[in-house]
Amino acid sequence: MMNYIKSELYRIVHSKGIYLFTGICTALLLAMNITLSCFRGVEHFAYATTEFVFSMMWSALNVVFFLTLCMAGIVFAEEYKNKTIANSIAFGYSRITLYFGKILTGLIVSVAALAVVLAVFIGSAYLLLENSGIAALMTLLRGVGASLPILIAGETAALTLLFVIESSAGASWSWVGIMMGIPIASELLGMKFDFFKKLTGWLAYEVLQNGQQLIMIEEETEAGMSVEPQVVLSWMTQEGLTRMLLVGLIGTAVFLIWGIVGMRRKEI
Amino acid sequence: MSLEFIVKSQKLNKRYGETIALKNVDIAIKRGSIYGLVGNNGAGKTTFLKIISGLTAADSGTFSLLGADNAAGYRSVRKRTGAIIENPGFYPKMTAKQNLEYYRIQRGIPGKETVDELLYLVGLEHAAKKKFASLSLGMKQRLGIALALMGEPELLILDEPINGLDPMGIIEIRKLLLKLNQEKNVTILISSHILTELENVATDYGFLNKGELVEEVAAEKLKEKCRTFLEVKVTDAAAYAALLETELLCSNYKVLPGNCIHILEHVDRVSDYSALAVKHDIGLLAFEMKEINLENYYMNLIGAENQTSDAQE
Repeated sequence: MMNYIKSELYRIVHSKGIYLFTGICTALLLAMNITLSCFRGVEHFAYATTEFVFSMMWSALNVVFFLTLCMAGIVFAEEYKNKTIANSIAFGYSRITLYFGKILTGLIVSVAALAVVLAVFIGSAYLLLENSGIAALMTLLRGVGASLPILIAGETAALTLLFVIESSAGASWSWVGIMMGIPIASELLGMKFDFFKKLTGWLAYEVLQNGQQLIMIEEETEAGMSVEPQVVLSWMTQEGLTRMLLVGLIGTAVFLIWGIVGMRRKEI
Repeated sequence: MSLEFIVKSQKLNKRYGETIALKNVDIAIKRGSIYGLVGNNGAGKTTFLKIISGLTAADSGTFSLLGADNAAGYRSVRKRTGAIIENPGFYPKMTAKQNLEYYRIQRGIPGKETVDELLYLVGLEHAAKKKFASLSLGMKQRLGIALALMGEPELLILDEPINGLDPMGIIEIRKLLLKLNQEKNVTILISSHILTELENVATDYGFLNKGELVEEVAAEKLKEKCRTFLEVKVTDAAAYAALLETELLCSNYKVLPGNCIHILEHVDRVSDYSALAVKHDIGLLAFEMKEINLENYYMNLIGAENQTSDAQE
């Protein structure tokens, strides 16, 4: 397994895909920071701050969820179309070893890419924008950390579908169907049936997307009591955090079981 | 451990839907042999190679591979095999060298120089930095052979390895295979449509037709069956045969029904053979030089087989 992961890392490091993907993600976030920095110092413009860009990031972690599909595509590298998987099996690797090897490689590469993107994003934010203090950064890091189990489940699902379905397009559409189609259907059914309403609250994309709640925070100011609206995401509460962890773990386990069963006697 | 048979299958069966890919196939491949698997498209060659290589599972039947006879054992001994099944598979955007390096790491083979040596061995040293997608068909095939040779395998499984190779490439690969077989005792299981090429290397043959093994024969035996011979039809075959022995000292002949004799030696002495009949007043009805090569031997074999199965249907 170690040799397989090493070879996969060699391949990914020597392919353009990962650099292109990480580069585009980094460039987009950098562009946002640069654009906002142009307005730094402009009166009544409150968005050229680290707090704002960090909150933009933590409130859009569902976008990162979609990126796990792209990352899975890079890691899978069209093994069936290229017929490369056959070489590894003919050499004596079991299908299950290859499957787990890919998933572990995917996680290693994804975490590395995420670290690079975040480092450039956070670093450039501090360099270019008004520093709002450490609290905003900590919120971002907590959000990313809390989302990791669901992101892992998303990537595991994508790689499983790529292994089982073989066609990249078919696997991608299936992933979108499972991750988005089912939550939408469940939400609609939830209007009629209570079971589906409850189920929707346990589906990965919903947990990331719709965990947002707008609450009013009362604050005492010099002028008296004021009410400030504040966005609260599910991972900001203990219950939400536990739910994200459970959804991630259960999702990962379900797809791993599917992958193991699907790969066991797969024709190559 | 010295095994007599590197691969031995017993009653292997495989179906794809309604199509029978293999039917009760018993194949035995001796250590140190070059086993030529002969068959039309759809005869079951690739299916057999895929089963041996672990790419697909047989529906029923068993096989032993380098002494292993269960899934875990197969996986373990496959490290001592090299295979190209169908087209060689590589990552198109990586160079020839990077592709081999990827598999070197995967197989845990020490020494980066291994890759350069393999590229040199198959004549691809000049194309090391070319992307796989930009290689010609022949070059891709050579790269596939380089991969199969990685790790000094005891068994090479080659499915149509000379597809796309130019004549020079075919000769080089043939020499390489013979060298590996003779100097390193590598057993080679090879399938090819180019039967004349198989004739140059194979020590044993298995003929497949519609998923069934029609015949398994050693090359020596086959040569006897395939050689050039003189077919002589005379009025008195017994007398002519006796004269062949006494006057021309020819002992390698076969008397067939219908006063027909197949002379298998000194076939260039045509005038002597005809003069013999004339000299002893034996009527000479037909005199023809005939040759059976692997190709028409196979065609005759499957022709007869197909006629039999058609009649049964």
